Amino acid sequence: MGESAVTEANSRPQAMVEDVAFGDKPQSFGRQAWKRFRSHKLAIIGIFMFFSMVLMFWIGPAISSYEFDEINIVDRAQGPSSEHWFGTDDLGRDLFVRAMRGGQFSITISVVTGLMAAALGGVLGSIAGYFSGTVDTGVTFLINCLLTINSLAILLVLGVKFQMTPLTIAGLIAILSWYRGARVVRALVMQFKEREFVLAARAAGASNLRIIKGHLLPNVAGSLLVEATLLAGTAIILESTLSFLGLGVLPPETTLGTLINEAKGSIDTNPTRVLIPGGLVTLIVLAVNFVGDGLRDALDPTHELEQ
Amino acid sequence: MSEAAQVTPPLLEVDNLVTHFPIRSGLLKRTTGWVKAVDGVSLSVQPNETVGIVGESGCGKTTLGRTILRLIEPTAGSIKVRGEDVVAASSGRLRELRKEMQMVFQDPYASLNPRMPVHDIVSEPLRIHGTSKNEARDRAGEYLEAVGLLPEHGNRYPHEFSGGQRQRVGIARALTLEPDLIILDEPVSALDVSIQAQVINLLEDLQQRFKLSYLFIAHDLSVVRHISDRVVVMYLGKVAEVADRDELYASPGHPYTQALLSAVPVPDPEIEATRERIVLHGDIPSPADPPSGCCFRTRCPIATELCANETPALKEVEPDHWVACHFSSI
Repeated sequence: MGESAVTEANSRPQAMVEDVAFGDKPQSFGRQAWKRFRSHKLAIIGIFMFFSMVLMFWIGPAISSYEFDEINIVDRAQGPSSEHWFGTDDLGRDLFVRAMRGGQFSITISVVTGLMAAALGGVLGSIAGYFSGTVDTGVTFLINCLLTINSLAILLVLGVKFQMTPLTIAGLIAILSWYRGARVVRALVMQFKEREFVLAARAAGASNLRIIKGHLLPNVAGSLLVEATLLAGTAIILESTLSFLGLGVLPPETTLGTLINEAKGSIDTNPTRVLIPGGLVTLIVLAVNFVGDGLRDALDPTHELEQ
Repeated sequence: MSEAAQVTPPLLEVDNLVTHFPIRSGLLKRTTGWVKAVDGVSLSVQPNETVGIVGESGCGKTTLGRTILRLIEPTAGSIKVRGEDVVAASSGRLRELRKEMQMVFQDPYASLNPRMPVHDIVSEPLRIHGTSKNEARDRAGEYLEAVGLLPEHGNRYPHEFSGGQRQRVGIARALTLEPDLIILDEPVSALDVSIQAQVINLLEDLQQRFKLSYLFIAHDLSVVRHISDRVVVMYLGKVAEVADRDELYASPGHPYTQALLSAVPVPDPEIEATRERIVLHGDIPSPADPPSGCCFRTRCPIATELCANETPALKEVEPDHWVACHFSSI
């Protein structure tokens, strides 16, 4: 670069030689995120599926003329009919109402677990990744402990010992599975904290809390969100397993897993009894994962719109 | 930088600064050695002065810049801003001292948070120091204008800008705290040559307008020659030579400086074809295991026995011209 080049290409504020063409007028982050979310077809399908199920699970019992714990021995073990849409179980309880009731708990458990585990994992993971040293050693030790133990075994032991409510199940699963989010966040934070924009913030005097909250978490939020949706899916499956093994919520209360467990004897005679709750579990997990994918893209300002 | 320098205290004074990084290995992560990234560097920057630091990749330039801001903790030595010790400063005091010195980073793609709109990036230093949200936003707009961007651009995200524009954003961020010293860590080496010129000119304008001092770290000798008042040549964490810009380029005293300058192409084909180039052989030695004596001796064309046994001190061979070589040719 010669002396003359420097003087010739003199840059004054108005001389924006390297200007790039900007698009339309500025929009807020929320607006842009919504636009990106809308352009994600699967996410829209997912959110539609999710809210349809929420609506169905919470309104369904009201439109049926049966109660979830109403025993009617005369009508026991029937297949689907106009009277009992999903059939009845061995005690003659209406399976439609019971499936709706179970769906309520399964959705609650999955959402609560996903949120709790992500929050716990996000906080502990970012602290461990940011402050290496003793804190990191401590959190990593906890993560390794959780990796070596079998969540199901712990839940089984606790299930025998204590009475499970949907919320305690959600809490326990969150405590046993936050490490998955924490590992992802820790690794990403360790990578991002060396970036120059973090150094710049520190040079400007930013506190550790500000750097974690303002610079690191927004950059790992997308990955944490995906992990949270996977956790939400795992939670439903784990809860179903627990219920299937007979250690879930106390009868006559029910969840989708309990319904599958109760129906296992009649799989040859009346397969819909297994297929309906099984299908609902699959749909919930699928919907949550679609929404998670869409949210990840929506929260990433560098993500190009598919248009 | 003559009589005036003797009376005004230097803005920045670095004395015998050492930054070593531990090498840990084995199961117990025991420290088995040290990477001597910065190994006894002394320099000073006067108010309104630009000091260039040149050297090959891996010579410790970047580490030096970051250590001065205490983004990396120094192992030994002292850093003084207007006579106040930065190394001993408490975290609260350090926050105040850092208002005096800011940094512009090399990579305009890594130095801006991709999840933050430019307004927030530029106004964050003000927000940290307690300015209200609206005022910080207005001031950010002003600084965006000062670096040749439009305040409306503040609503955009970094990925919507070109490399040169991003570097302008980085400069605006460094300006918001109204520092006296800006450490420029290779601010133009990631940019196209045509854009380099624009950014260099911008930096010169800003220096006059805001009365700034620069510590300009670079490996491009032409850029350093254009912008610097004084030049420090570094090799393997040590200072090889310090001199006024014109003095250094006219009569380099250290064989390393001579070799660096001879690598700069001359824009005249006849001179270029006939001039003698000093070509250095071999790679820069590992800073974890530097050579004994003079660290440049393994690649030096005039090295002798003495160079292996004795480390040359930085001597003043002419007024304000310091060279660390036993056989300095002036």
